[in-house]
Amino acid sequence: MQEFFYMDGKWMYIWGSYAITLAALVLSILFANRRKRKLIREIEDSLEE
Amino acid sequence: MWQWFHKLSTPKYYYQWSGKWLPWLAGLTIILFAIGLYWGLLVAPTDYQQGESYRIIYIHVPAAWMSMFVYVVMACAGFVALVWKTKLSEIVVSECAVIGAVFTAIALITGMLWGKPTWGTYWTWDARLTSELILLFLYFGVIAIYSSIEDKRVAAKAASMLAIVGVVNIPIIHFSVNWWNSLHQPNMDIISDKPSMDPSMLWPLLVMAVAFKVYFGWVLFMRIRNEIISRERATKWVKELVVGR
Amino acid sequence: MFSALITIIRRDLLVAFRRRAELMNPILFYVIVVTLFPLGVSPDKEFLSQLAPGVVWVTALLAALISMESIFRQDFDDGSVEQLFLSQHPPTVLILGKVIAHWLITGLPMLIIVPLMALLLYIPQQAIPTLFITVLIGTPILSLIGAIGVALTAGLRGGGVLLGLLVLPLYIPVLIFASGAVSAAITGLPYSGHVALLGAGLILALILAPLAISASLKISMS
Repeated sequence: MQEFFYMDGKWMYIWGSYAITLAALVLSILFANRRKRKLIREIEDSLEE
Repeated sequence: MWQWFHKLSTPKYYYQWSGKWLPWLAGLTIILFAIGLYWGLLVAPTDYQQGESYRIIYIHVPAAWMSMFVYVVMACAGFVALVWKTKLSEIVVSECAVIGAVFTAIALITGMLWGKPTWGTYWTWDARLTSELILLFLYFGVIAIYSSIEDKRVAAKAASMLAIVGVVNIPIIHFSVNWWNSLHQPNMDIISDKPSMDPSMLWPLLVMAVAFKVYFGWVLFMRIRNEIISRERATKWVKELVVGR
Repeated sequence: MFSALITIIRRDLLVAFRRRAELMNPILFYVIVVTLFPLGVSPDKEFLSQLAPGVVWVTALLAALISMESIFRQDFDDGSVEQLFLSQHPPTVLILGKVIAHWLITGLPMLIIVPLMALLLYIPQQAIPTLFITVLIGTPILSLIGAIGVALTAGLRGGGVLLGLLVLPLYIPVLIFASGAVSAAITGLPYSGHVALLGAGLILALILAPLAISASLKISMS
């Protein structure tokens, strides 16, 4: 297990690139989700007026 | 068939149609990523030349493939937008530009992180890294022109035009960079993407490539849907949609 | 059709010569930027001549870029761009005429100062003909591609920086082949391959760019 995380001493590069990639992919989804909620709230507000 | 396409290109119908697909795309993305990551990180054997650091290939190469694939999708959508003037394809252009830029940035960053343990330096003017950097500039150009024109329909058309000009230029740029690289960097120890990659390493790569593609579909659908709501906020069907929630 | 091409070239040249003072500006810009390199890097002869092809061509790209903006600016402000599309002649021919005229005003003078640049940057004599040829073939490509960018940004205020962002990546092949040819000539290697590719690029740009420019102008006018 430890060996797996250690990756031959290259853990910084390997896990670094995996972490950056996953962060970018997940954040893209979260941003899209947040924008949708925001848009719907905006439209709701405009309807109430 | 044509009628169906025509119907699909109307924002309202597209919104309903894509809504049915979203959960499937999301689920498939997560499953494929889980399989691909498990296979690539745990099952696939260690490379005898590069050791463990080759495992970056499982995100670097799919991201690099996607960076080019998305550009082609964007240019095709741009062509449709200019010829048939459908609203939906205009939206596809602007949304693809952002997603494509993200993939390109991922490919570049992971390429740099791969370069450090293999070449001993984060950046080399290797042909592929250089082409990728120029591709990122091309994406930035499309994003920049789209965001600087006030009228979003005109902006989308200008961005489409630029995307088409870019797609004609990409092979030329690619060729020129390869040529330039062969003049300046003789015999560098480049990671050759051997066509004879061992199947035990190749399969997880293919799974990851498909995972990236499905992910692209997912995030593209989400972004298009948002843009549709934003642009059509004054229409009746969007108002009904919001109320009906 | 050919006479229409000649007419529009002559018209644009006439307009340009009415404001003679502005004609010198791109050349002056070019000379000044080239002067900065020895000051900023090193005046060492060996080093500079190695750097020279890149310097000459990077500067040429920048000079082409900043002079590009004027190509449709006036026509856009006084509405004569619309005339291009209302004319009985195909708009691509008229646009090609405008680009040629613009190149004659801004690109051709570069040919004249190239020997001076070669002197300042210690480019050996045997490479000067090559430098000439690359400038002769390369700068029209810059004008043709640049005009697409200008046509897209014509309706915008302060499009200058944006233009650079759009167009400079597309200039990269010209930079590579042209400065590569000059470098090869300096070291005495064959350079005909570079020049042939540059020529192919010019032909491709001559065919495709007018179409793209006319489509872009239509978008900007809408």
